[in-house]
Amino acid sequence: MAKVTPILYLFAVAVVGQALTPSTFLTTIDQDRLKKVFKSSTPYTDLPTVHYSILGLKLLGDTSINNQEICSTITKLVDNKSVASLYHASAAAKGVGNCKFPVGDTQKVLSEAIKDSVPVADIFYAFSALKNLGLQVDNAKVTSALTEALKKDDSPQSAGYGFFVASQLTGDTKKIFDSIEDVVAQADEVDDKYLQFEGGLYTTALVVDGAYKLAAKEKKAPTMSDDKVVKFANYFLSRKHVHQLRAAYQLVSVIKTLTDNQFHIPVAITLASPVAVTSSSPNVKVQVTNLLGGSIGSLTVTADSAKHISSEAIVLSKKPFTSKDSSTYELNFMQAKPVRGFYKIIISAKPSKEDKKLLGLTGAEVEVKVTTQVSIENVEIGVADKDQTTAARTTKVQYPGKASTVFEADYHQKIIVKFQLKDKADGTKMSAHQTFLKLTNQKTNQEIIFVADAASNKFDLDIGSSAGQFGHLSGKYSMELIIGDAVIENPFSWALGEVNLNFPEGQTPKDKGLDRYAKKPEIKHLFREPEKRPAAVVSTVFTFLVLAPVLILVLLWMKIGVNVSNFPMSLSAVGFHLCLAAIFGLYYLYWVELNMFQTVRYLGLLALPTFIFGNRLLSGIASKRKGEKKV
Amino acid sequence: MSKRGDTSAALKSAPSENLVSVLKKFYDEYMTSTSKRLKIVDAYLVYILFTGVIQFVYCALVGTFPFNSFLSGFISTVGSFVLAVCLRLQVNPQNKTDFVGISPERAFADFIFAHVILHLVVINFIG
Amino acid sequence: MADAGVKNDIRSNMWRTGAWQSLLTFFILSLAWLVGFSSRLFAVIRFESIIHEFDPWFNYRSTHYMVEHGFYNFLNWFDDTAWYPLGRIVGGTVYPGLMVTSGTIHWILHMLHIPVHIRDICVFLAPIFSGMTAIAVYFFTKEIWSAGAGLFAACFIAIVPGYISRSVAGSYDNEGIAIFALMFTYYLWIKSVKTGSMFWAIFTALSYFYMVSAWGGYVFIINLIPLHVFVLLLMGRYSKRVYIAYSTFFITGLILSMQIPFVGFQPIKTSEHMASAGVFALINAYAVIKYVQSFLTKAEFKFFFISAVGGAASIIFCTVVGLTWAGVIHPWSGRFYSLWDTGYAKIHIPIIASVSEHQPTTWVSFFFDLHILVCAFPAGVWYCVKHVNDERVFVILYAIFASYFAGVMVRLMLTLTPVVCVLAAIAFSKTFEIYLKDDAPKSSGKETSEEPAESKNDRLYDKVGKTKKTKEEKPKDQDAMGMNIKTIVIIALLMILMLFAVHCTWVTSSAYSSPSIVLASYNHDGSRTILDDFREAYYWLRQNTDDKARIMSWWDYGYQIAGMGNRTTLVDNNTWNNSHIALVGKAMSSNETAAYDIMRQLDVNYVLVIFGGVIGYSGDDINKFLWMVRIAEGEHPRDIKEADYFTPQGEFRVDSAGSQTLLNCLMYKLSYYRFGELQLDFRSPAGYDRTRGVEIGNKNFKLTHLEEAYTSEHWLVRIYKVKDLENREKVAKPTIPAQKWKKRTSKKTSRKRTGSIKNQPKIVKGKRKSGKK
Repeated sequence: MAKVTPILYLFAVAVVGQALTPSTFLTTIDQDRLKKVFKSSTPYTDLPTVHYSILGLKLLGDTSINNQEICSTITKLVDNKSVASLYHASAAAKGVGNCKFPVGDTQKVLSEAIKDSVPVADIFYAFSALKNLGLQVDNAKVTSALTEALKKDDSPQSAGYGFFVASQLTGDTKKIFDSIEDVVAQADEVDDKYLQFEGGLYTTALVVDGAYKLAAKEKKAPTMSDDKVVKFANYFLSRKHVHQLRAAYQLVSVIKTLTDNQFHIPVAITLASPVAVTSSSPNVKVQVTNLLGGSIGSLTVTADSAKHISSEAIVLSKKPFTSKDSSTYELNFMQAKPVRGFYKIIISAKPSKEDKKLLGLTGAEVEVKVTTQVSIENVEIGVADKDQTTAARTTKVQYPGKASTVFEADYHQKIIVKFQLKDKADGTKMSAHQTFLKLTNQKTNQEIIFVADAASNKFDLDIGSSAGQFGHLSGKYSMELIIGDAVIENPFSWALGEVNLNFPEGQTPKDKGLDRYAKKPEIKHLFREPEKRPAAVVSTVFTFLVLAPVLILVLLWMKIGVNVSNFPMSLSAVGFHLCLAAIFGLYYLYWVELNMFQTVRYLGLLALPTFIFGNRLLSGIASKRKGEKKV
Repeated sequence: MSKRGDTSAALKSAPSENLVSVLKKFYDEYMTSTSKRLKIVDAYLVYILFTGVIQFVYCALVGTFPFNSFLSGFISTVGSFVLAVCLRLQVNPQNKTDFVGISPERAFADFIFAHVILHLVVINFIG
Repeated sequence: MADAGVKNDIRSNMWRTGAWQSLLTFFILSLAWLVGFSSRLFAVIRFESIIHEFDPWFNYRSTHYMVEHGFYNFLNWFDDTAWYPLGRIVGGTVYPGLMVTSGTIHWILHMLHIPVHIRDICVFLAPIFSGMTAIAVYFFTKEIWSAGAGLFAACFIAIVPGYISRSVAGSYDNEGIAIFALMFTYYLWIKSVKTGSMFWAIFTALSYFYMVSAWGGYVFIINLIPLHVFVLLLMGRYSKRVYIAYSTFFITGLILSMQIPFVGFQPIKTSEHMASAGVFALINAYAVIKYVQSFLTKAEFKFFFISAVGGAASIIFCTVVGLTWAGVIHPWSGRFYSLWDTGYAKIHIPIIASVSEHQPTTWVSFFFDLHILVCAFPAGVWYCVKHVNDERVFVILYAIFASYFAGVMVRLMLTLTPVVCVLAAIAFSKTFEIYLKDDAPKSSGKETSEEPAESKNDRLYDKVGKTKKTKEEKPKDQDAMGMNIKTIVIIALLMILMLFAVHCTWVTSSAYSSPSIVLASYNHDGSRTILDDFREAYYWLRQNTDDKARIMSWWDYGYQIAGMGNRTTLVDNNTWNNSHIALVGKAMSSNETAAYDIMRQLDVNYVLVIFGGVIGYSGDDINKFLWMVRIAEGEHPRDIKEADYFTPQGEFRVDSAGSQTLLNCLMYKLSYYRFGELQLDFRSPAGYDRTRGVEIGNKNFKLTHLEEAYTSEHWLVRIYKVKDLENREKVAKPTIPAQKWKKRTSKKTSRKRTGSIKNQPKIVKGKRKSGKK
């Protein structure tokens, strides 16, 4: 968390910083980066690249240029017929110095290029090339062509070219100088802080640079108000990460101009110490420089006020900085006993001797934060029933110790973690921006992070309802409490202990996010398991046992003496017994294969003869018996 | 008939005889006073009784898994027993007064008819 | 009718031949049949030949299925259009007797090349069977008392409203044939007890089997017959005939009853059937003891008796208790408990209590259904008690228990009706006998029909012998009364019987002949308007919805939707799954969004509600609504609370004073959707509910998840379509627990509440030069 904080801070500054005074300058790091940009285009393949990078490097004071080589490159690349090519070649050659490239009828080509009804840029190219090559220039012709061209095209870019041309023209350029005011008025203002022209950095830099060049020639301050200059400066500095060569060159050029011109020099007040102010490093350092980081002489720097951003409490006012060296000033901020938080310090500088050139000396804003150590106290961990039927049993833990016991919790319980954060500096309770409880499954290393309620510093984890997040995985989880805040110096991640979570069985853990559209498992119908049948032997034995009493029957009947011989051998008797046998045979068939309707039909067929035979047989017997009785 | 039970309870009984002697006397009386025809039926009853007992033992020891098969078997046994008892009651000349319109032959015909119906259902149920 | 029978009896004394007597008997019975048949045809004449009400629709549908697909397919029929998504195993959950009966008739008629549609057979089955019931009752009474009483009873049962209520043409229900089976079983039982023949006992069992296959009320038989036997044993009236009759009947009936899939193993597993098994064991033990007793001396017997009975009783008791405890024998089911304790159902089983048939009977309905018979009935009981014999014990028991059960449940009035007819017939017959005999001493009119039966009794039962006494008493009575009194009494009785006939016809035509799916209303001028909304709506369903569409409605309409609309239903009148019904009840009583979730879960396509507010039909869903709430509360007590649907004063009202829960529940919304725009007449405000007589409380609401699909002509049936989900699927919650982020909005952003885009630069355009100088 701690690493994130500065980034957050920078972000915040970028948004909040509304002060006009440039809060940054072209530091050496920036200059080195720009140098790298210029150098990166080697080996050169075209003339504009050569031109801009050489000149850019020269402006930045880089000396590592191989003049000879570049000169030969220029010679190789130059196209004598093209005005632009000649301009770039000549400018580059001039930058390299002592480099001649074969000049044909350049004079004629360039001179002819300057005429009415050509764009300002072309005039600028031709005119500059002529100047660079030291050739003759027809000032009147240039002036008339330029005036004509500027009338036709009043865009800022052409105006910028116009300023450049005018700055080198001999003769009356007053009119063009006067147009500076109009041109500057065309600039767009962004966020009350930046001024820029349509066309971006190159155009803006070109115009401003040209304006000051022209002003230098006219020896008159350009008609630009101070805050406009500062806004332009802000714009340039905000674009210092530019990678385009032409724009980079123009940027360097204009910044250079803004540091060493006669009229306006914007001052940058920047924070030179870390943003965080602590009791161990209580000083806030600021640098007061020009845009290139150069000193601007001795100054008295005062902190006008320091304001706590969230509560808007002002902790100090009119506090002078002490001078450390030519450009660095220092203030012990902690003397004001600020509470933790972010502060905005408004700084003004006053040169020891009045200097009108210096702009943006007042109202510079610097943001710092006062950080503090935090301590965690009264930590209790416990497991309680969801329905609050029983009071939670809690265990106290001391930072950075670990709970000795492993907690046990199941899905109708919840884990409760209570803690208090205290500011070590003043002992007050505080809450942190980020408080998390991280549970890590010790087997799968799956991490589940829950946000604790920051206001109450209490944390309730209902296990049952968050079972889905755990993927219904029972097992041991290690608990970690994570505390972090921008104003906490010692953010920590503390292993609290271990908890054994129990989820209901049968819930298959699945990754919901992935298989939402996946094929669901096929539902198979489960038939009820048939009950176990007894072993075949047992069944067989019992079948015989059940049949066995037939023997008893036969034995008993024999003992009693059944009279079978009395069986009447009549048709009806035989038929009756046959039919009965047939009926029971039919039953067997019914058991084996027939269905009910067939059986009933056959039974109906069989019943009739059975009835007739039986009736005859039995009535016969009856009459016989009656006859016997009577006799 | 029902009066006899009540009066016997009212009478002072002789010193208690044990069960064996009672049964023995019962057996002797039975052997002498029962007609041969009834004895045949009684033998049949004994046979069915044993079958039923074995079926009961089976259900107690092994279980009644195909419950319908067991039931139909057991009910077949009980039904046959009951029907035979009915036959015996109707055939017994002593009970002549109770069954006015029923000759032994009619009883036997009923018996056969009941069996036909009973076993049709039993077969239907045995599965 | 009844009068005719009497007159014929009187005339029959002129020809004292058996031939005349049987011809007359035949003639009277045919008349009774005819009258019974024709008085049940009011509904057909007034409306048309259609199936009535709710359950008959299911019976008709399954009969149709059986006729088309064959019996075995019917037994194995799994109906997946009912109880969606569970389905219903129809073959295993119906009493198939009704379907088989009409199927058989259909089959026979087609064998004879008489092409009759199965629907007509179904419509006319109950009237036909009522004639057969009359004949069964005749035989029953003849066995109990005399042929004359039998004729009376047959005439009574043919027209008594208590029976007609269940057997009008079109009321194709189990009870129609079950009463016939019931009375026929009893007749055969009495017959077998009288003769002691296995033959009759077997027939009793077969008839009992038919009863089991036809109606769940067979439990009444299987408890009453053992009770009869038991009481006979207690009264010391045991005989070998009773033994033969009961043991043969029991064992055959037991296995026969288990052939019905729906009954299954219940006869040996539930307590309701245990009484019969216990009596069977008891009578066998008793028979053994009797048998042994015939061989032993008294002392020996006493010893034997005590040891045997004591042992047997303790074993049986332990077994029954043990089995019940172990769960092998199920304790009595809830419906059975509700027979004993009228409050039981209301407390424990709202679904049973919700059926109007299961409410306790009022005295008014006794008179309404039985008229004069209910007054004559105790007299009949008294005669039976006075001249008691084996079979009269039976009829007395029958009378006592049926009266009790009829008092508990309106529906069981049906079982009471036959015995009331029988006993009232006895009472009338006896009275006529007394008063007519004196009128014509030379040809004692009543005796002709009475004497043969009585004398037969004498022959059969030398033990009973009480008939002789009664005969001796008669002359005394006769002497004591004068001629005029007798004439007056007879005329009065005839008047009463006439009034009875008039009452029966009136009740039948006015109360019991409405098919309830076609309603009739009468205009001022007496002309009739037919409201055919139900069929209109069901036909719409059949024609305009997908074949597989699922219709949610309250369970009352399940069978009708299936039968007439041929669509899948969620619940129906076969209320076997209470929780499923409760789910539908919950959907109906929840608000629309909650209901939508349930309906999505249940895959509902359409919702059908019955709304009577326009025409003042009182049997609509709003009036049934409290039952839905109660049933839902029974299963989901956390979501649905009955008290929420009442006003604080405890009233159930749909006007603006009604509870908000009620005014916003699904049932309310579906019933009253767009009703607020409807002004029925100029005297009442818009949205005036005629059924409840109030202006509804919540008008002009919109439905979000449903849309109206169809409303019938008189708004009686309203069908709504359940909309699909919105096209955009809800985004599932991220797995990272970021729920609490929202609470911690940072201070910086909270300042910018106006809704600017973060970090957008503010641009002030530079001034362009407007023109050239």
